[in-house]
Amino acid sequence: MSELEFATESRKELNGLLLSGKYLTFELDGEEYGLEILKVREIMGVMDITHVPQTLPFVLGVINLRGKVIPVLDLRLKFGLEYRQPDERTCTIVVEVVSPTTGARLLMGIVVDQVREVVGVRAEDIDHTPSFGFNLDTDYILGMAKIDGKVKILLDIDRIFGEGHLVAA
Amino acid sequence: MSEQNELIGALLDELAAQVMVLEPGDLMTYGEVLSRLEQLAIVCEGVGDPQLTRLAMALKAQMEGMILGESPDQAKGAQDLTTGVALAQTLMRGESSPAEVHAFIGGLGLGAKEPPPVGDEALAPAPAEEAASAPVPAEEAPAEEAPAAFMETSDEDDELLNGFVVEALEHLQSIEVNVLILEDTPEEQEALNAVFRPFHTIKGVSGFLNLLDINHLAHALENLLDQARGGHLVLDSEAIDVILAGVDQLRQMISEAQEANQAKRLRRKFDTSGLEKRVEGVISGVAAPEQPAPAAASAPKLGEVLVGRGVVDQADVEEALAVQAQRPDRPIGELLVQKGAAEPSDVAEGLRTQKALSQPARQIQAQEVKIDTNKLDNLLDMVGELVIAQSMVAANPKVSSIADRKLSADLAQLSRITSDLQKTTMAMRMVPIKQTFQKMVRVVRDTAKKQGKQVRLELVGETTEIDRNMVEKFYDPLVHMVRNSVDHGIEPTADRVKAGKPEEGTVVLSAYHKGGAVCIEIKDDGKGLDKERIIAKALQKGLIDDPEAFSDEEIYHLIMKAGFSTAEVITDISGRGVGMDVVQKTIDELRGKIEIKSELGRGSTFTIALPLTLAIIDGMVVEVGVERFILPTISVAESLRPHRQEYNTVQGKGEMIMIRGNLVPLVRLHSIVGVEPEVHDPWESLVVVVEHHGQRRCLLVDRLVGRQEVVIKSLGESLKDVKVVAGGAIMGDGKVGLILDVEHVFKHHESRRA
Repeated sequence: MSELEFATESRKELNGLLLSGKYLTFELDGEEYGLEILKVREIMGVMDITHVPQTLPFVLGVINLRGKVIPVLDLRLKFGLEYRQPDERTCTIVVEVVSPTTGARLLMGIVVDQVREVVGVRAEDIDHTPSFGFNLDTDYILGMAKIDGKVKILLDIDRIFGEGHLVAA
Repeated sequence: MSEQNELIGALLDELAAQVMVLEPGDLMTYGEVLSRLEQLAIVCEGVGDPQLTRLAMALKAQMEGMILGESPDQAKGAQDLTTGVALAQTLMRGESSPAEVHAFIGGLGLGAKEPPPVGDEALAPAPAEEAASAPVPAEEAPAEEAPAAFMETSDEDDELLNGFVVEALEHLQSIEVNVLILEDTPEEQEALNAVFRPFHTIKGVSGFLNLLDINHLAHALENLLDQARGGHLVLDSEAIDVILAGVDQLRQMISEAQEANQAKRLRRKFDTSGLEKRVEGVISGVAAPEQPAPAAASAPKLGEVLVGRGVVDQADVEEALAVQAQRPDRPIGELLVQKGAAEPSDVAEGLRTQKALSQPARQIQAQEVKIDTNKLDNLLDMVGELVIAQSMVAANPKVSSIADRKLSADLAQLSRITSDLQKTTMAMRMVPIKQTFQKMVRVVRDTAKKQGKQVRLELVGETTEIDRNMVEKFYDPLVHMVRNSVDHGIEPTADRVKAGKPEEGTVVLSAYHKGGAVCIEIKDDGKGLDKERIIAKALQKGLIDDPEAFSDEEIYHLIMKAGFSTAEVITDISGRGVGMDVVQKTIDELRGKIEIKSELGRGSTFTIALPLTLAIIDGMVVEVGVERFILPTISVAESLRPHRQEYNTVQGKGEMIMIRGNLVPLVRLHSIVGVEPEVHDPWESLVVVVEHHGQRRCLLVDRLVGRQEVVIKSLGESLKDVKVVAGGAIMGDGKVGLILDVEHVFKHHESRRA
C-alpha cells in the first residue's frame, strides 16, 4: 500500500467512525435520506401552516409547536424537486440545527414525503461522498451509507439550514 | 535550598487560601490545615529557619488547641491563624522581623510553651497592637502577586469572581437606596446596617479574591459606617457624598475586574487614595465634638401621642412626668390611668400608635425567587397552549352535545382555572416600578447638586407594576427625562425666588394605571416649555413651515424630533448621550405614547402611557384571503367600506381613498403579504385606516374579525428579517396569526410604488 493510499484509507476510516451512529431515515422523491437522530426533536404530521411574506420559496411558513412559533421548510423545494401536495404519509420532522458559523441553535420543521425508520449506521457501512461532477453541490451530504444493499444519503442538516437564511433579499 | 523555599511558599499559599475560608467548627478543614502546618513545621526545621519553625509550631499548637476545643473563641482562633499565615508569608520574603513573629506568638496565648526570649518586657505590650497591624502586611504582601495571579485564573476562580461581581453590584445598588434614606434620617439603625453589611461583604469577598484596591476602599467605607453605627458619627451630607462617590468608584472597579477577567488581561488598578483620604477626613471629624443626635428622630413620647389625640392635656402629662421623676419604674401610661386622666383603652391605643410611629414605614419586601426568564417564557407558552386546548375541548361539538350537568360544571371550572393560571403567569413577569424610581432619587440629587439647584423628588405610586422587560428598556429614557426636568425645567434658585416660587423645586415622578395602560408622569414646577423658542427653532431647522397650523401639544411634540436638541433650545448644557428623539424611539418600541403639557412659568408634565406588558398586544384581527393578520389596535383609527366614487387614482401618487375630504393612500395588504384576496375592489371590501406617526394609510382587507388580546411570539432568529411582520400570535384555534409592523408595511408600500 502506497503512502497516499494509506492516507486516503485512514481518512476514510476516520470519517466512517465520525459518522457512525443512529439516523432517522426518510423518503424524498423516491430517495432515502438520513438525519442524525440527535438533531431530531420530534416527528409530526402536517400542521396548519401560516404563510409568511417575504420569505424564500422553500419556506412554507410558521407553525405553533406547543406555544412556540417555528418555521417550516419544504425539503423538496429546497432540493429543487417539484412541490407535492401533502398526504397522510407526509411528515414534519422538527430538528434543532446549529449554525456552523455562530453556533446559534434554531428549531425548525422540515416537511418530507415519508418517515421510514431509525437505523444504526456502522463505520464500515459508510462510503465517503462521491463526486458527482461540477453541477452537484455535495456540501450538504455527510456521506453515503450502504445498508442491506440500499443507499441512504446522510444529510448535513446544519449546513443546509443552520445559517437560517430564509428571508428573500 | 531554593526548592525547600518553594515548597514552603507553596504550602503557605495553600494554607492562606484555606484559613481564609475556615469556618469555626469545620473539623474537616481543621484537620487539613493541621496536617499542612505539620508539614510546614517539618520542612522549616529542615531548612533551619528558626523563626519560621517557631511560627509554624505555634500555629500548629493553636490549631490543635482549636481542634481539641481548648481554645474558647474559635472565630478568633481562625482569625489568628489567618494573621499567622500571612505573617509567615511576609517573613519568607524577609519583610517581617523576628520581633513581629515573637509578638504574634505571644498574642496567641501560647507563649508559655515558648522560651521567653530576651527583651520580653519591651515587647510585652506589642501583641494587642500586633493583632491589629498584622493584617496590613498580609494585605499588602499579596498585592505584588496580584497581577500574576490574575493571569492564570482557573474556571473555578472565574465562577467565584462572576458570582462576586453580580452580588457586589446588587449590594451597591441597595447601598445607594439606603444611603439616600440615611440622608433623610441619619439615625435610622436599620438603614445604617443595610449599608454597613453589604460593604462588609464586599470587603471580605474582594479580599479573598485578591482584589485589594476594592478591598481597601470597601474597608475604609465600612469603617466610616461602623463609626456611624456606633453613634460616634452622624452622617451629614458630606459623609453621604463620600459614600456615594465610594459606591460609584467601587462599581467602576468591580466592572473593570470583570472585564479584565473576561478579556484575560491585567486588571487596571485604581487610585483610591483621594477617596480614602476623604473618608478619613469624615471619620476624623469625629474628634470634633459632634452634636448628640436629636432625640426627635426617635419615637414620639406616649404623653405627646396622647395629647395629640386629645385624650389628655399637657398639664396632666407634666404632672404625671413629675411623679415619674420620683418613681422611675412606673410607666407614664399607668400613672395617667391612676390619675384618672385617661382610660386604659386610650393608653393602649396610644401605645399602639406610638409603636406604629416609631417604626417608620418599613419597606415590606415580598419574598422573591429569581427565575431564569426563559423558564418563565416557557411556562407562559405552555399555559397559552393549555388555554387553547381547554377551549378546543369545550368547543368540540361532540362534547358540547353531551347534556350532562356535571360535565358542564367541570368544564366551567376548568376554564376558570386555566384563565386564572394564565393571569398569574402573566403577573410573574411584572415587577413594581419602585426600584427604577428609587434610582431616580440619585439622578435628581446629582443633577441638582451639579447645578447648584435645590430640587426635591417626590415619588408616587411606586408599587405600580410593570413588565420586567419594559423596565429595563425604559430606564435610560426615564433618566434622561428626569435629568431634563431638573436641568432645563427647574430654574436656578435665584430665578425661582424672583418668580415668587419656593426656593426648592419639585419634581414629581408618579406611576399609575389608567385604562389598561401604565402611565408614568414626570412633572416639574419649573419654567415650562417656551413655545416661541421651540417654534423659532423648528422654523430654523425646517421642521415646520406654518406655526399657526399646529396646536400647543403638537408644538411641544417637536422637541421629541431628531435633530431638535432641547439642550440648544433651552440651556446650553448638552452631551447627555440620549436625546429626546431616542426617548421617543424607545416609547415607540414599547408601543407607548407620550403626552406633553406645559404652562410657561408654571412647569411641564410629561405623561408616558405604556402598555401593561410587552408580552401581550391589543390587536385588531383582519383577514386577507385565507390568512389572518393582527394590527396593533393602538394604530387603528377606523374601518369603513368606501363608496366607489371615493376611490381615486392620482397621477404619480397611486390609489387614494377620499375620507371626509382628505385623500388617504390605499395600501393593498394582499400584495404586500403575498396572499390572494377574495375581493380586489375597495368598494366591495373593507379598508382599515391605520395611523403611524401622523401618517395615515388605508389598508385593504377582506374582513374585520374583531378585537383580541394576543400573546406576542417571536418568529425566531431565522425570520427576524421579515420586516413587515412584528411577530406571531397563537390564535384561538391554535394556528399562528401574524402581527403586522405598521411602520414597515408603510415603508414597504412606499418602496414598491417608487
